[in-house]
Amino acid sequence: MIRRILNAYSIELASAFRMKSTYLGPVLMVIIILLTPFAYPIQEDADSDYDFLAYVLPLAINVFGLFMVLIYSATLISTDLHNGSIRMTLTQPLRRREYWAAKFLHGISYVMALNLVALGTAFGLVKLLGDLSGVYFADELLYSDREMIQLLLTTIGLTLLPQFAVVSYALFFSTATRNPTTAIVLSVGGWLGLEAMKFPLQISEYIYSSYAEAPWTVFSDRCSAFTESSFYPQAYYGVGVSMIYMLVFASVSLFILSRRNLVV
Amino acid sequence: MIWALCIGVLVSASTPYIEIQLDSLYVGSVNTFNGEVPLNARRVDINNDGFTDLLFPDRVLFQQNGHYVQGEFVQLPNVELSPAVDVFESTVYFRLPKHLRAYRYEEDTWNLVLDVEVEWPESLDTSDSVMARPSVFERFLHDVNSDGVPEVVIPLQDGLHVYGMDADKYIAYPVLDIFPKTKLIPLEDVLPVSNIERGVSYPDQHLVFHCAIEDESVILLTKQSLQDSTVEYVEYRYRLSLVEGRYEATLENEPAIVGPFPAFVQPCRLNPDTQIDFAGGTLDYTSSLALLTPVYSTHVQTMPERGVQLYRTKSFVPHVQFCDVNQDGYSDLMLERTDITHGGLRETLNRFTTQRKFKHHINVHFQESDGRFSKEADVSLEKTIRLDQTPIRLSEMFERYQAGKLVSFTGDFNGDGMNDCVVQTTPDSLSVIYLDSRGDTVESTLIVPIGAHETFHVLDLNGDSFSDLVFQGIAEHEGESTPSTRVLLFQKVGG
Repeated sequence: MIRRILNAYSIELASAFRMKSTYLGPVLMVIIILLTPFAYPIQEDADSDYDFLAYVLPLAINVFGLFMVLIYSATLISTDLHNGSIRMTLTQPLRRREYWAAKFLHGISYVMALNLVALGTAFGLVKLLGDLSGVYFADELLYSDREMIQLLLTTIGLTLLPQFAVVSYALFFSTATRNPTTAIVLSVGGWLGLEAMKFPLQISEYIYSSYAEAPWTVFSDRCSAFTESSFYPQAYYGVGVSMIYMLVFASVSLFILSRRNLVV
Repeated sequence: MIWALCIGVLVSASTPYIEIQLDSLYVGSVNTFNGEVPLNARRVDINNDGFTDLLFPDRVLFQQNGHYVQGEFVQLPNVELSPAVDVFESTVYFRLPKHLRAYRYEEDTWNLVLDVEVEWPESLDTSDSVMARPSVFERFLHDVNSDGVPEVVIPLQDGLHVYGMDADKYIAYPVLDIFPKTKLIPLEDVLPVSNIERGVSYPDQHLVFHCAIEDESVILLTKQSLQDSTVEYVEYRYRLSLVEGRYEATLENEPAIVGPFPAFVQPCRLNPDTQIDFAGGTLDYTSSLALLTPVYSTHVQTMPERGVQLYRTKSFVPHVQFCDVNQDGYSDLMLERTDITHGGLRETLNRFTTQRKFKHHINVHFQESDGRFSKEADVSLEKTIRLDQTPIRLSEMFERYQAGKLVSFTGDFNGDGMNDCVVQTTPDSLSVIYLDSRGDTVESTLIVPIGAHETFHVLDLNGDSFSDLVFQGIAEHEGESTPSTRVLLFQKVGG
């Protein structure tokens, strides 16, 4: 089964590499990051520029990137349903759930690609224009470069699961509708609606997207020399809530896909 | 009817306060260094009945059965002469243009106990314009030599004017020429870099100094701006002593330079020792991650040899920076923290536009007997505040939240020796959170209603060791009647 999923996944990737639309998100993300110094200047001086990373990375990954992941993932299955290519794909020795798993891996790869592009561009920009020399407070070195980079990687690592939950959420709409535009509108609209209602309904703790940004608070605090903030216990909640959402959306999507008449 | 009466009696018996209306009372901004709030009245026992009365510049309101009855004022004498008013040991002194008069309230009447002619300094403004003003409080009485008879001390440009009682007369002693003199300072010595950046080419031409009179000591602190926008203080300590019929100011030791400090740091008293302390705080905004996260930094120096202690917290302006929470005579450091910007840009924007409830943290760092503040918080409280509107609407309540007006830790409402916390948790209610002597919250929390346009202040109005709540209303529309003031006088439950 795993071999079949990996085969389908590699075919998915090859097809994605051939499509120009795949590059739209990363290219726009690079442009956004390259333009950010106009709003948040960085320069070579005595001050470390980790705060620039704390500013630009959540902006790129959690605001712009999240929209791109939603849009991209919402089209992954609905496009196949819309043009009928799913029937051709499933004529191969591939079960429907394996097909869904390959699509999910495809979405996850897109998330990883966006994160790596954002991280690489922002890091390169700071190396080029600014400087990274640890975090000092009152002439005392609080965090060395090595510690800050470890912290940055931990932060990104902790935000990945909520982003994977976004992929699972968008795939649910992609499975439920045949039209890619409808899938995009439903997934983006549903997400915006949920975001708008989560605080008034006091359910933000139960929404996975709330945990996509929480680790960045810790990174930002460390950049500003606040030492008392911690990833925990928010990180545990983030992992738990994201896993639950992934499982729920995956189960519902697989149920719908297994019952769907692919001919009509 | 009987049931209603019984319920009314039960309710009033369970509330630990009585409510009175006191529209003549006005409360000013809280002193951020000690939590005291200025009033337009002084709290003194005028009629010597053992209870604190409210002395206004023109009248007095006597305490009756633990509270005050609005409208039952007793007028002060000589009010028509626009005196400067001060009080010393239940005796009210009136500084008139050519006289010093003192009255004592005995047997329901004002008795003149002193009326002497005094030649006030020429530079003291006694012109008609000043005399046309209403009477005002002025702190001119100091018992410099601790003989029980107050001296009149008036600081003026030419020095410190001291008048003392001598053979039933107040006589003027020679002026003590101890104040620093203004002089032109070389431009390059005083022109701050910030002024050059702003294109301001002239130096500061004024001289700033503080003068504190404590018993027989006079402490002068002159403030000097340094080039890097910091300031330093030069401390002069004089001892006043009566030598051969005249007061002399003797410099106790060599002038001491203290600092440099950031410009917002000020001299203050944070503990009972003789040294002047320096403290201050500033609000900055960091723009990494969230939109403009407020960061409040507090600098404090209680011992020069130990240097400055610096504390930072993600908070708007706190209600007070220092307050003696455990009532040990040492002011403790208050650090508040808001969760309003918790999360990233997206979460913060979302929260600002859709959320009304926020968690607010209050941490107290006790001051040790050696003047140091503890690194870890000794008392920690977390309370949820529900605003009337989302922050993006910039409502009056959110503005008050930003100004530190929704939280106060300056009062002890149950008289147990540990301050209790008052938080305006909703637009129409305050929560009084009681703390036990160890600083832990006790389970019972008192909910007190507050009006839509009222602000609250905490102070012990009637001097019974139980702090009281003063609610000051503001006129909602222009031209409306004067603001109203109501007071909740807390008392011993069942007493």
